[in-house]
Amino acid sequence: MTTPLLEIRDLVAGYHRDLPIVTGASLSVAAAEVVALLGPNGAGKSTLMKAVSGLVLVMGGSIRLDGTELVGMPTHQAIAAGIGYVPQVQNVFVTLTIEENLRAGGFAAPRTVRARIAEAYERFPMLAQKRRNLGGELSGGQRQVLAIARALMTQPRLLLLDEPSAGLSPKAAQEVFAAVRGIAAGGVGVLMVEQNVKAGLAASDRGIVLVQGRPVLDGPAASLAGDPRLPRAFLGEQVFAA
Amino acid sequence: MIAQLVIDGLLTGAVIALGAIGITLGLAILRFANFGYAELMTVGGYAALTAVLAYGGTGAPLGPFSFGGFLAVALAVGLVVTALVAVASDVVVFRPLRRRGAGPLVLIFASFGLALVLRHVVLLIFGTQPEYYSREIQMAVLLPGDVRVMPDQLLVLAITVLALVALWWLLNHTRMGLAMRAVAENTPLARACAIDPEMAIRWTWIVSGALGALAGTLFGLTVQLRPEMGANLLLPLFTAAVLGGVGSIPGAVIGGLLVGLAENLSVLVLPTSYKATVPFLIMLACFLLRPKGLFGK
Repeated sequence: MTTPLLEIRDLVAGYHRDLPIVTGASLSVAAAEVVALLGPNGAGKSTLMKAVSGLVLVMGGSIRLDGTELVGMPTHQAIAAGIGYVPQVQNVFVTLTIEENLRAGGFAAPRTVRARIAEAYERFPMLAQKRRNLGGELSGGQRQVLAIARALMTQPRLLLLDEPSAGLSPKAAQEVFAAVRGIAAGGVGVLMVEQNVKAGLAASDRGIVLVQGRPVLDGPAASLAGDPRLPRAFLGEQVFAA
Repeated sequence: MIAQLVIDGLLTGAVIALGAIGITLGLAILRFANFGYAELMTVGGYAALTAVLAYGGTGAPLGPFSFGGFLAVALAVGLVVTALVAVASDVVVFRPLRRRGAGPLVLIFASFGLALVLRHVVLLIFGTQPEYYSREIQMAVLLPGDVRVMPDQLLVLAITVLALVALWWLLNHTRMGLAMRAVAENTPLARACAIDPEMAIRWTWIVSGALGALAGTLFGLTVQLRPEMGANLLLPLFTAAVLGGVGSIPGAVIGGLLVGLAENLSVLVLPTSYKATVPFLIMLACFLLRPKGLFGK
């Protein structure tokens, strides 16, 4: 069996040392795989993403990216090590232009920033058209695209997306999911928090359901979509890891 | 008379604007009101004076100006020394507090303490008497409208404009400027861009310290150097920053010019001794009528 790109073991994390939100989570993501992280509100999905990015306290367990331990690493070092993180809200700099947002995204790799910006414009032509516009002038869907393009500037091996379809029209959400599939096809592992279960699983290879800070279901997206335990997990009923 | 007051107001405002930029950078990036900032102007002014005294003056006066070419070297010394003092104050006082999760109020009190220490160190070394870079006589330049301006004052205005252009270039065309702007707007997102906020904070101290030194030296050149000059400028500086809108550099510049103009024009309706209350009244009006300032978001 090959080593997963991201391997999380017994992770305990949260905002206060005595109040963990993620309570012993173990999961993995392979290269070129899209994994949907699902679960009811307050399950700890966003906290888990922030723990991988070094933005919240980690009280226990390990987070390894290609074998490199990320626990204890400041966020800017974790990003430089190969993580791309797109937060759920406030995920673009509204006072910076599109091009400056991309330059900020490529801060860790100044020598390649021009080439990366050209790639971003090729992948998302809308950004090229609006390169001089401020981030705050974009629509919700356009901001999400910019946020993803910004996160790709360091050529991450793992992309963390926190609710990329939140607040988007179905059409805009489908465009974002299509972009995510394209990114994964290039070899990048994607861990994506999603509230829209159906659409999230349709865009993913695998789904993991988190309840009260730990995974209770983990399986191929196609089979998980029809799994009767899925709605029960969301309703808070006891289910067991597949 | 009004034209003369306007010109004098713009000259005062230019120095206030430079200092207000340092204040607004601190509010936006360091996220606290640094009441010690004005003392960096004093440190800068006196560091330049030390270089002048060590050299034995500023050299033979250049053209119509009151000072010689060595003042440029002294200014450079002031910029470097003040930037170092600013970074040292962060390392010794503010960074340890930040790492312990201190809130803005704790940082504000710490900045008050630091201000007292810096002011009294200057007082101990240089005494209470006013100091000058040069005592050479200048001939006033006569401008249209029967306005008289000293050549030094015109140079101060020109240097201020150059400093603003340099600052604009730094913030908009360098990696460091981008990092500072990103951290000012959204620190967690800046972290997610692999930008180290501590590095941006260090550069903020360097840039604001250098601006403070420049403002202090220009103030010393056109007025005089006194250990309490920073303390006296504190209220106009904060008023300019608040009036312009916290975090807005163009706002700080316009705020500085407006405060300078208002101070000088106030003598038309108020006794001169009340001039110092004008910034306070502007700040009060700003808090009551437009708390976000002219350009605040």
